[in-house]
Amino acid sequence: MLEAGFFYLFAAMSVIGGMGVVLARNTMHSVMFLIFCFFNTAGLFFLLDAEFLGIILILIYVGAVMVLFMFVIMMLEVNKAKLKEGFLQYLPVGGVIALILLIELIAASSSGVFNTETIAAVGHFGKDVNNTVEIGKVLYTQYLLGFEIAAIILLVALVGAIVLTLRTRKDAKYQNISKQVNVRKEDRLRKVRM
Amino acid sequence: MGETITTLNTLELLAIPALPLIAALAAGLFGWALKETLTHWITCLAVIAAAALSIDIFVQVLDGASFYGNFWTWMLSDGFIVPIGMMIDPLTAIMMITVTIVSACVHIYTIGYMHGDPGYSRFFSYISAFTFSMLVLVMGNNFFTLFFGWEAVGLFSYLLIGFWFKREPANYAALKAFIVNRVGDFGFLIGVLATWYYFGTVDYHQVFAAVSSFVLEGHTLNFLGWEMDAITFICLALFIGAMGKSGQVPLHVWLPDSMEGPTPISALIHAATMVTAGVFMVARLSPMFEFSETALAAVTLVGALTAWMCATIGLVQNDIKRVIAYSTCSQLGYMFVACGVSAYSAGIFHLMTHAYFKSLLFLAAGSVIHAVLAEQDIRKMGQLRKYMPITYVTMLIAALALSGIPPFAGFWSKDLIIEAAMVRDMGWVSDVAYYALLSGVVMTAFYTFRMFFLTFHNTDRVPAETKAHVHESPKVITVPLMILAIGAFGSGMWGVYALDITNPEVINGFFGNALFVMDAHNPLMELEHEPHHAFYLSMPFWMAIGGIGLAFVFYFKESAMPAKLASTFSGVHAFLLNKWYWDELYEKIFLRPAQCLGTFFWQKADLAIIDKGMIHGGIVDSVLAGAAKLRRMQTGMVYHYAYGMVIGVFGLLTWLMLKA
Amino acid sequence: MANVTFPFPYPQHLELMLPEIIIAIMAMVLLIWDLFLGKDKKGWIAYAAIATCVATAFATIQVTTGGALTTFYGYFVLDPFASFSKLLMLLATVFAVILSLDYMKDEENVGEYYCLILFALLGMMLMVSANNFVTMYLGLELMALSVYVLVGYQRDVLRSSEAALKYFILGALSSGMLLYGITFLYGVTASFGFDAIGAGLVNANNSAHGVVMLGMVFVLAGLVFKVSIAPFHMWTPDTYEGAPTPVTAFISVAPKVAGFVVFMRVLHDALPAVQADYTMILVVLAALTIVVGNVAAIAQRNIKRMLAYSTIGHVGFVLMGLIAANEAGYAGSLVYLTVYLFMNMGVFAIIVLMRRDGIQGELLDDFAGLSKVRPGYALAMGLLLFSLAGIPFLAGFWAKYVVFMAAIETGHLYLALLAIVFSVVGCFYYLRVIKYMYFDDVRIEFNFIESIPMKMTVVVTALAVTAIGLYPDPVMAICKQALVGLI
Repeated sequence: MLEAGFFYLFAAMSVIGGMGVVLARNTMHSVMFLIFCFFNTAGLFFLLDAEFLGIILILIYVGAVMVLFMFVIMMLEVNKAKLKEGFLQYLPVGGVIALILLIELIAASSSGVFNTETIAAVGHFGKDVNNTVEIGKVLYTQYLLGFEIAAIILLVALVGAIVLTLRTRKDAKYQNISKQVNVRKEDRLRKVRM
Repeated sequence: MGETITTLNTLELLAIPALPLIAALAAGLFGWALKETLTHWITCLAVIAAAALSIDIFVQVLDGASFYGNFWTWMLSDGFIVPIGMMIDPLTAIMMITVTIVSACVHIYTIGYMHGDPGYSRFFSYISAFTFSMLVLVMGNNFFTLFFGWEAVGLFSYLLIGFWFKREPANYAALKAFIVNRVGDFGFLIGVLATWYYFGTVDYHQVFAAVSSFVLEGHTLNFLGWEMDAITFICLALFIGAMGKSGQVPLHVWLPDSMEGPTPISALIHAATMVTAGVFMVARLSPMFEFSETALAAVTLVGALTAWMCATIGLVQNDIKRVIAYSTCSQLGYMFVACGVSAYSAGIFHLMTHAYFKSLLFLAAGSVIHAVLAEQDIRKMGQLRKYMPITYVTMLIAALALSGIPPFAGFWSKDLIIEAAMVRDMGWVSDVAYYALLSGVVMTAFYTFRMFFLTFHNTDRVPAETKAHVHESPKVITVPLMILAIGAFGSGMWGVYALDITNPEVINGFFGNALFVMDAHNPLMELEHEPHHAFYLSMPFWMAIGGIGLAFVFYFKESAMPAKLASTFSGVHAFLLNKWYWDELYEKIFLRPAQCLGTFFWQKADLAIIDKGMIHGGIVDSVLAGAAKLRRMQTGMVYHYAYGMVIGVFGLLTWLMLKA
Repeated sequence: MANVTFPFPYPQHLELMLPEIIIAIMAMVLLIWDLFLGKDKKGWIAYAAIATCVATAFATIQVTTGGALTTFYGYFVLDPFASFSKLLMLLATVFAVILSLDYMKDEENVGEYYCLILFALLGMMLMVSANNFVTMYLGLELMALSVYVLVGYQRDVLRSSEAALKYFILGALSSGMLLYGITFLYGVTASFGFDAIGAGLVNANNSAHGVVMLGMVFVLAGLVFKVSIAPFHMWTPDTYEGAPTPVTAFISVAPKVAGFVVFMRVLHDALPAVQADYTMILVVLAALTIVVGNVAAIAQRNIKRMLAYSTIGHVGFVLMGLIAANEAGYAGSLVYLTVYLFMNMGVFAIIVLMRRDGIQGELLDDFAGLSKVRPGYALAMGLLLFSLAGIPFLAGFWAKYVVFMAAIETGHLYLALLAIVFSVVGCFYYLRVIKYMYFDDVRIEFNFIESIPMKMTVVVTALAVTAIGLYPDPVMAICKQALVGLI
């Protein structure tokens, strides 16, 4: 009972958080809502005995990714008025679509597939089950291939980010220190016979 | 597919058509980079090599070798299988040597004839490609390769007639040849498709094997309210194609006009090879034609009519090439008569001898034309024998061969055809054919020697300014003449004595199973039973002598007799000079209405309905408007694109949900 | 502590992954090697990449067997179907690298460029070898991420960055949709494997129908985005136009192959239970795609944009093979993709060749009078465009022929008729280029790139298109054989 209560609490909060991200006028507020949403999602993970995932979510997403987001947003000068331009224009159609989609989603999901009769409730694990170890076990056996690919994806992301940002501008002048140090006098001095 | 029989080297066989094709591609695609010398070396060597290989094949075929097989399947679509393969038997082999030897001679001749022409490499490319197409036509083992070769030789004929595309008559002649041939080819295509429809295959062996049972089953079809045997329908349709390609009445009108092309072309395509494709086809398909009396009668009648009519026209023509062109039509008529009376081997024999002496005649005429600065009117020649002895002698050989004087080649084959027509009993049809051919012989001898005497004897009528240029042609021209002269002289005796080409007694004689003749009506078999007679007992021989004598009297020395005769029978003369008014007839019946119809469609259908009605305010406008609208939808805004995606998902999902 | 046995069981039959392993290792080696190369020697990386592709192709042929084998605990499958598409993608990659040789010479960080192409290739190779949503999704993301960077490689060119950003955002949206759809299918069947999902859906009870539809639509949306099927195509023109031309060539072919292969696997293995439903959807999408692609191409003045819409049109035709959903249809789609590879690579090679002083020969007008300046290129371009238009007897004709026949035989006559009508409409914009080349006067001076590999590419593609057109049987036979593993 208590568990169900917390579930609905976290679920409702993350939905509110998600709505907030989209609806907030201030970009900064959107980021805050997103962090709020992540916290609640982490809560849901905890309820599922997936402490590791919950903590990872908070550590990486809230701790690293969202902080980066904030820096970026603070550095960019976002024109709020322009951002909201046309919002009303698209609201009626978009709203109707969203509403109907929501109804369809609810209708489909609540048609009886996902109820407790068809899916047996899983009890909680005992204290001796360490879900970090359990995740590790499947990650390094069954999902090893996926794990490896994910590693390469991260490498590509790294390389890509560097490639797109690290470049010398052609219109600016740079000092090349090693060139300066290695310069010989013949390079600079030309004897002219008079 | 038929079983593969290989006692010949496949690679060697493939090389024969491949060599000219490669040479044609090289000359055509890279001619701009190659020098003149290199171009003709490549093409000539390729064709000479093909000729050498053909002779080798021929020798092996004489020893009883043969080939039948498919190399690959070109198209597979709903059971329509088009195999590409070859069938080599005596009939093919003799066609191969004829085609490649004449082609090789013409290639060499062209070096001298076309020297300095801006289209030099183009010309070589075309004639090599033509040789390839002709070889495909004769070597194929099914109706499809036959059709491919048929259309390809037509294409190159068109391109070569119009080779000097800046000359208006050449363009018109090329168009005429192409359009008239379309009429024939349409019939031919119907024949091929009908064969496929009824037999379910295009393979020669399979079709031939099925013919007799097919005829027994008695298939008939209703064609425009006319009930006829399916086999007759097929054969007649195919024969319409042969009429177009081989210049038979009434589709002969393009052949004389095709003389607008360069002379080597007239020799190669419009005398020796392409125009004989029709005869070859009828002989090749003898297992089908033999089962249709109607078709055979039609072949005989058309051939006889052409042989006679074109000979009459040839009597009065003044253009040296046109005389020979009408002679070609006429001689092709002889060959068709031979096929029609079931003496296929005689027809093919005449085809071969004719190829040599007629191409020789053309090439010699080309040599003359070359010497007198492109003058083709025999009234402006005369006494040329003094200047060009080699041309004179070779042309004399060709003329004697064409007239049918023994021991020259033409006598043997022509004599045989006429006798076959006499022996064969097809009611009035064979009688008509016999007398037509016999009277044709006189005319042939007459017009040949009329042309010959006017060119080389008679009085010297060459204009003074050209006279300075008149000289014997260079070696590249005279050597091919001499080679062909050997053929024109000896191929008849070679055929009769060495190959025993027409002997039907031995089933495995020269043609073996390549030609099929029903025992019930085999004129050559009947001839065998009659005692052989010496040449001086042969009727055609004396007819030919008579024709030559007449020409001698009229034209050897200048005489007033021809003019007098012409004015006495001025009506007949004009009728013949205007080629029986065929062109005028066609213009009235087909050209004018076609032009009217064309104008109508252009003005009413094209301009009024399609351009005005459909384009402006119809399909095109709406497509353009749609394109513009779609272009505007592509705003460049990411959120519009995302919006589009979401709407897409939403639409599909809602549709599915509502359906469920 | 929990009880864990070390070491973990080692994946069996690792050799099946040899091609992927070669690519992965070589991409990383080249990444390092690049650091030690002088600026004028970066071309070595490109040649090394080509050599890698060739070696990988041999490895692929070597490890392929007649049937389907799995490794990595069943999360990677190698069958002729995967191998054939890998060979296609390798070929496309080689072409793309050749196209880049001169084009990217003056860019910064050239070495990483080729490494990213290899990583994209790796992603696609994993995609086609995926028999489950996990491997598929990760391969897809690896490919997508590399391609996003490649598209935006010319940082100094505004439209290049813009194109990359648009592609990235929309790609993320489509990935989201794909993942969302996968969760529903997982919810119903408790599995990621295509076969297991297929079996699970057959056994699923009626109440699950709505959820399955949800999952299916979202999964399809994610997949059709990658192969640019309308209405999920809108990123295509902008991205094609903005990306460096060799990258455009690359993404117009290789990801389409990978996308369609995955698409076929998902449809055939995972969704057979709902074939009636997805066929209905795909018919509508195919019709829409064919119309949009062929009509919108007419209004374009930029040849890369035009080819983007042309790609959309062709993708619609390929989709018809999937709708037929039988051996002839799938084989037809493979034939189409094979032929399309040659046609498109050839056309793009000529576009790259026409680069002049930093501006590409991109406007349709730029082709005016090409036949007078470079008759050879004009001829090759003409052949390729005729093939794209589907003129017999060039390869493009047979490609269209097989998919149209497959569609007609499975009862989609109206779709085939529509496709025929709009392929005629499509002829217009291909023939327009030919008209410019042959009937207009030269307007601009070009300094053509004189590079032998490029010329070879043009010659090889034009010859391939002609040869396949004259004798299509071998390609058709190979594609039919390649279906082992799918069917």
